[in-house]
Amino acid sequence: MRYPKGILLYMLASVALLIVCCRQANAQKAVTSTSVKADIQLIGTVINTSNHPVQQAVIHLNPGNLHVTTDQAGQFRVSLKKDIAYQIRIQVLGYRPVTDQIYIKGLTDSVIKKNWRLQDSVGNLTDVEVTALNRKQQLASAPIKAQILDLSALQGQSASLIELLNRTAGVRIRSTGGLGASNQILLNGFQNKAVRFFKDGIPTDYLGAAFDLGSVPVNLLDRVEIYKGVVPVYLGADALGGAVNLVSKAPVKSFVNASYQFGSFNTHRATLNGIYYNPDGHFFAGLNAYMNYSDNNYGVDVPVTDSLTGATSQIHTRLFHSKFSSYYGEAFAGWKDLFWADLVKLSLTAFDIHKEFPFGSSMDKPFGKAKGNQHSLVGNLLYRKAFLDHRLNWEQFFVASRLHSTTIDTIGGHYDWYGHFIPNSSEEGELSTTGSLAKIHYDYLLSRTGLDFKLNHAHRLYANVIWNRFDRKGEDPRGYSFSDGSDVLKVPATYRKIIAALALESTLIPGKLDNNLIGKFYQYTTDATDADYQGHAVHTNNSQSAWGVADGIKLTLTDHSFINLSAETALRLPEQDELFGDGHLKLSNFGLKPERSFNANLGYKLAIPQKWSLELNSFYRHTKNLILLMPINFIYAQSQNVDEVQGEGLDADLGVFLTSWLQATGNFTYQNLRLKNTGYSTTEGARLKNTPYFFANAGLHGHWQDVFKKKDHLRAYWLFNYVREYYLSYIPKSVEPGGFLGLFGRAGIDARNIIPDQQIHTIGLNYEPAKTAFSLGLEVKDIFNTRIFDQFRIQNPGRSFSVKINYSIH
Amino acid sequence: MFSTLKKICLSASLLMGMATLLPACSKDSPSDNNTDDGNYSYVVFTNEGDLGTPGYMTAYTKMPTGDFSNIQSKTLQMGSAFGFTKYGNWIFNRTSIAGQAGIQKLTVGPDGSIQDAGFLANGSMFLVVSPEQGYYSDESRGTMLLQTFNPTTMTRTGQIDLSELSMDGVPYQVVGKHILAAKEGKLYASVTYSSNANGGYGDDVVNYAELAVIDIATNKLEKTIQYPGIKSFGWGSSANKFWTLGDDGALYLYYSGFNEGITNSSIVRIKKGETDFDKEWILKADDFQPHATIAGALIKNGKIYIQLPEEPLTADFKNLADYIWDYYAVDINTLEKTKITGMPKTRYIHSNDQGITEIDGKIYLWLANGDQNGYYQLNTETNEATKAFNVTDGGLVSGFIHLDSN
Repeated sequence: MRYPKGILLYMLASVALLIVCCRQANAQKAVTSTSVKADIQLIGTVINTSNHPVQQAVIHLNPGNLHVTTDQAGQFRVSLKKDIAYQIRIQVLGYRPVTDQIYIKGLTDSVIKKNWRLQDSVGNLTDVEVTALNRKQQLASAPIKAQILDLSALQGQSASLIELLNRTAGVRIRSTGGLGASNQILLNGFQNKAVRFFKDGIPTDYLGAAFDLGSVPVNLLDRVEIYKGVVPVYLGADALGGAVNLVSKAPVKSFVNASYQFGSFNTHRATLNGIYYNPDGHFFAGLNAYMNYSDNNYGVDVPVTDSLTGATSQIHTRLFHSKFSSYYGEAFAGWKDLFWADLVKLSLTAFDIHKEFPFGSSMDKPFGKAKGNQHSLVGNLLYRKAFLDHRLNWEQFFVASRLHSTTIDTIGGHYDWYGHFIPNSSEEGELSTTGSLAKIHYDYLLSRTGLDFKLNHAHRLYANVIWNRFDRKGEDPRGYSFSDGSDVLKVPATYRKIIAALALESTLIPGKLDNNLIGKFYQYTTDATDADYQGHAVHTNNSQSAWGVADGIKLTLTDHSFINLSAETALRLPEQDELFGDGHLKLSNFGLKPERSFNANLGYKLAIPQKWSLELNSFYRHTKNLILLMPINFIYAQSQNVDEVQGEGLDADLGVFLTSWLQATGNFTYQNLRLKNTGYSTTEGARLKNTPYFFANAGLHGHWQDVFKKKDHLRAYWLFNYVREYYLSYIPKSVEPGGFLGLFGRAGIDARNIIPDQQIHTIGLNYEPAKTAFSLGLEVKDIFNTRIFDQFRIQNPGRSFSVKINYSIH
Repeated sequence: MFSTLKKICLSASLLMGMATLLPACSKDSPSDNNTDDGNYSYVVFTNEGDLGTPGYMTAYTKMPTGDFSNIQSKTLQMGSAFGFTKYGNWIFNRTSIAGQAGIQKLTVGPDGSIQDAGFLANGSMFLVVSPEQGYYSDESRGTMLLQTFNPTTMTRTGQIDLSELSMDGVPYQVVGKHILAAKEGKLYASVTYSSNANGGYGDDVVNYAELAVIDIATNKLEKTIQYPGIKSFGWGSSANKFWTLGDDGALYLYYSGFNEGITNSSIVRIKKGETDFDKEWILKADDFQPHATIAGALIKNGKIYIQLPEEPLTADFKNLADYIWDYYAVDINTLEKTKITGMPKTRYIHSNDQGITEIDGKIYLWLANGDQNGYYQLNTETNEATKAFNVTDGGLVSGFIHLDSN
């Protein structure tokens, strides 16, 4: 009863806040209305050439010497007198300044609206005097810095989001197969759930696998923000070592984009997204949708057992049971610039995912029939309102969803890698000998409240509270049961989490020194029942809370370079699926402890636009109770606390324009992460197993204009990806590979569980004909058809071809 | 400033260049601390952490002594270690070197390296009765089938159909999952009747332990024998075979008591010349310590050497792996126990088939308690044990064998 009461109080408080703010908004509106009796209110919108809002643009109007800045939607409001010719100058770093004139005469409306479109200032080599930053550049140079993967320029490419992220320094996404396969991120040495994923600032848990990196298409996104250390307060999550924020397109004008991609392994991917604004710009409605389908029948080298002799040999064959399909649609509508809200947006999302399981946590044995489905209906509400002349901004987000997950595994026998079925009356499933008919539903409720308040010209205060409730209930007639025969899954399991964060962003020395200080409070509670070995019910009710603090400092060295230093003591709460398992191949572990880590990050960035850029990032971390997904037998895996991990790492990214049309890029990542205080001499100081510690990328990118016709664009690229071999098991430190940074040679024992060197060459091109809405992308991944392995030595698709057609109208 | 920048750029460029060149670079620099020459026939197996983790198998030319590291240049890393066994000069592990489920045969080369000598995929419990004849369980072929194989070639040779032992209405039934033992030309295979809850591990639905008796010469089922009052024999998940052939010619079999919340753990026997249980004799662990369990024993000179906890074990296994175990010598006839002295407490034998083992005519007792990690040698006259060797590096010792010849 404690929690329903708490939830009720929380919701009442939210409603009360809404009422108070609306009243205040009405009051403010009244004041504003009074003031505009004699004036005209100008609502201006500043956008870029991609129709995305430009934030923090400075608007200077004369006469009157008025100064305002644009908000998150790229908008500004200012009261003007009639019959005066105003000179307006819009300036924001990263874009060319715009000068315009406004003369209001004879209007009867009290409000006028006008848009300005800014040209990117880095568009050509003769105009390289970048004196300030656009939104993406702002994020990339904030005290808590983000690495930006700008997808707006990559919409025409065939590459998946995972491939694009793997080209980024310090990031490694490890897959367990083709399209739709599960994947894990490795970021600054942090893995799995230590790195949080967000969609537009909201944790993606409520979207299940629909917004997984392996599923979400590039065309639905504007950019990916990668935070390698401290996570900004507006993301407000218990990320231990970083966060990835997938940011949707947010155009301020109507547009439609559609794409279709097909390629090897009968892979088809399509997207449709667009938005419509009514003529006065107050109402909008739109759609974001995608579909994925793949047979995923790529070639693999796997062991087969001779049915007569029992001897095992390796064969090359194709996966025969790995089809994947997913359908996702998000319809939304909303209003802008109302008296009681700057933005209200309602969204309804539905998705349906079907997945065949080709194998378990290793490729030792195939599955031929086991499969899983997931579907969900999600509703969410976003409300945004500014007060006190935009000094106080409030954002409220609610989401409610029910996710249905089904596992079907009922076959009486098993398959071999040739695809032959071998009946066996004692086997009732492939995932386990008893099989599964699990039907589980997960209910998510999430609320995020964000406030930011400008104290003065140098200080800004941010507050963010995320409350999350998760309930699991289901049934599996073939699953675990209590000694009285009742189904374990029928007993509800509940997980509640609240994370509150407060941040003070300060400009200590204008133009030179900025600081961001964050305090965080975490609390979670679990309430679940599991069966022990004898089938007795074991009720688990955990509640833990903790504090964390972080600070980020940015020191600007020159117009083109700066240093970032950040440090935090962070907590990462075990996630629901780590505690409860997933009902498929991941087992529950109610004994998981939260991860606790001290992290420090030091970065340096130097960027001479259109000439060259260099970015260096280093980190130190000391994590206790690191949670890793570990295989615990030949089928299942389970999240477990792995003692302590200590280490440091360095990544560097270099880009050089060799000519006006050819750019060379390269990056490398080295991570020296080791176990500590294990209690076993063998593993003490050993590198993390099943974790790559050196990987690198190199690339050449050509861009030509006026190739076949005037104003057409042709882009071509070659990319090389390298991952140094690493071991599936711990290698004692005394016998690990030697040489510089341990990058040479082999272990000094007979250790054969190696994930070998990966060298992947990819080529592609993209053509945009002049004056058309179409573009065409072609790509060949792994052109030399090497064997690509990833975590747990699971083989990924080799050489693949893909073609993508992209269509956009604005 | 620019000088520093140049250095940074240069270093970054060099490292990135190295990334491209690395595939061409390779250097083998194994360390080698084992300088012994001769016959590598003593093999120590360690787990990197606790049981069930990857392991390290190292061969030595002489009986190990003193403190030493089990990480040597010829050490073989096994993907999964859950104890090991031997037959003649062959080593057997229950998973492949990479960790795949099956029966892995290994041999030791003249230089001490341990080599793959054949693998039977999906095999679990097994028994080698001669260089040409062996038996194993492969549930993927059928739970009421017993497979036969040639250990020399490590190839399957056929199967014995025991489906006549099936019992109607029992959800899960399996032969040879927990016990495969041989005595005087007869194969003794466990017959398990259980629910689906734990797949035959402690969820038996009958109130007796049953063995199928098979003639090894003909591979024909002769009969089944039952011991009432206990629920099963063995625990077939590891290399620990849960039976011992005593020097008195009797076959001793162990019941863990795990079915009953760790109670009623027992040792029963089939005497020399017999093919049925000796119903007159039973060793009950609870008579020595309530809620105790027995996982290993050695029978020699009228004594049965066992391990017992100093406190009752809890049904949830929480204190099973604690350092609460002592060794005892029990008189087979009077069942009076005598505590082995001279060594500290140790942990539960679990998967270590050589927890109490005889090597070169001497009895060795496994000791693992965090401070020490190796074996003690027993003086059978005084029932006092003295330190034999201690492994300082290489993880938890989980097995120790002496191969017959090499």
